[in-house]
Amino acid sequence: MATTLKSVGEDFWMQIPSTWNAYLGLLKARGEGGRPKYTYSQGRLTIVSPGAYHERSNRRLSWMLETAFVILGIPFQAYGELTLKQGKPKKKGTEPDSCYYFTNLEKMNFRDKIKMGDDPPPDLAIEIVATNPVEHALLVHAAFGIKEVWVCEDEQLRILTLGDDRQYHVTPSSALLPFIDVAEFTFWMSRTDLPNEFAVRREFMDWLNNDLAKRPR
Amino acid sequence: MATVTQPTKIGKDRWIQIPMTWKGYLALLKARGERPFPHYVFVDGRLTIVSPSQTHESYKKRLGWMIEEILLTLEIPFSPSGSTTLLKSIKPRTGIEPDECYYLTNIKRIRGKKDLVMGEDPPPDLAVELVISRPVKDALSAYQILGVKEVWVCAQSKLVILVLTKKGTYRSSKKSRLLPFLSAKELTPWVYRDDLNEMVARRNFRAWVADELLPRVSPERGTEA
Repeated sequence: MATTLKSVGEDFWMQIPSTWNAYLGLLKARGEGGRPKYTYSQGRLTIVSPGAYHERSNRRLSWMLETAFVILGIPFQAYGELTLKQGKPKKKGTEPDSCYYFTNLEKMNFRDKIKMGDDPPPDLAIEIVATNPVEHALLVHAAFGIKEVWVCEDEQLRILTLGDDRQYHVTPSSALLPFIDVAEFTFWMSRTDLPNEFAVRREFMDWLNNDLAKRPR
Repeated sequence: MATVTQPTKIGKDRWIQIPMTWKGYLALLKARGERPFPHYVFVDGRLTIVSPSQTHESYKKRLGWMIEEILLTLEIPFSPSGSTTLLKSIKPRTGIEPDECYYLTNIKRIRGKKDLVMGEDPPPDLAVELVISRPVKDALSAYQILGVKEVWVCAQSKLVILVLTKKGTYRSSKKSRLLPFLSAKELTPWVYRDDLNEMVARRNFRAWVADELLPRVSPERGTEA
């Protein structure tokens, strides 16, 4: 295999022709496990079985964000890898790596069932990209009207903002969470220089408390 | 990105296994329509999806041709069913698209059939599976349920002949039971050699079949040739 700067664990993924009903059948056959992840839109099904890099990056990023929300006093509701789907006429479904509500919280706090079409979409979705294609999921996020998608690829964070054209565009910062600096979070996502994950997280906490939390907002 | 020499030129298949219902499997078959890919194997509530690599396809083409060349030269009647979907809707349910499959018996029974219905129609006698970079277990379970007598499995550098035992499981065999004059070992180099162009490789194989194999089954015709 060709060498890259850092070898990234592979996801197993595939795209196959499918129907909406076959997609529903797959979700049913999968049961509660949540793996593999499915994205369905326009007669195409993407199947992603995340590898170790994907899983560990996802854990770190969601932890970093949620810790930051708590320390910085930003109310939120996290729904992780919730299946976002809607039947006719959209016939689309996907599972982000994480998703968050910051608005509509009164309605969306502690909900046990969320249905696209009836409920508002999450404000933010996170997509970790190891070797899986993200375009198909973005199509679905856009159709549901998710305002921002943060894509973490090769440990680089990118902020995609939904434009008036219903397409995502890379923006230098987040309108939802303007205190998040893309370069800073990219740095924290890429850190493997410390002995273990615990040490990375401890250092992130120190930085959060002593630096980020003290900045004027 | 730096270029690095690769140890092999082998193209890997893309594959994935997912939990699946029978109904979901049928819906995916329908959605695929007339397209030949991906290949599906359904067994035991699990679906294996395989998108074959170029290496897979080129070995498959060659091995299929080799089998047909042997059958033709040795005047053994056969009926090829290629990668047709072998679907068995009665329990235990299963479905698979072999890389190649052949009938050497029951040829009259399946003549003129538009679709093969496993469980009603007899299963093919021989199936070929190229498993360069994917698991073969589910495919073998499917063939076992269907009752395919012999499966030729081409792994990365070796051809293995599996024969169905009385117990209903596969065991590897040095020789083919359907074509008892033929061993896996002697066939292997013909499948994997890549030092010649395809035309020369096939011409050499054709000569080998005529000079080596033919005399084994009919000595008098062999010496004439």
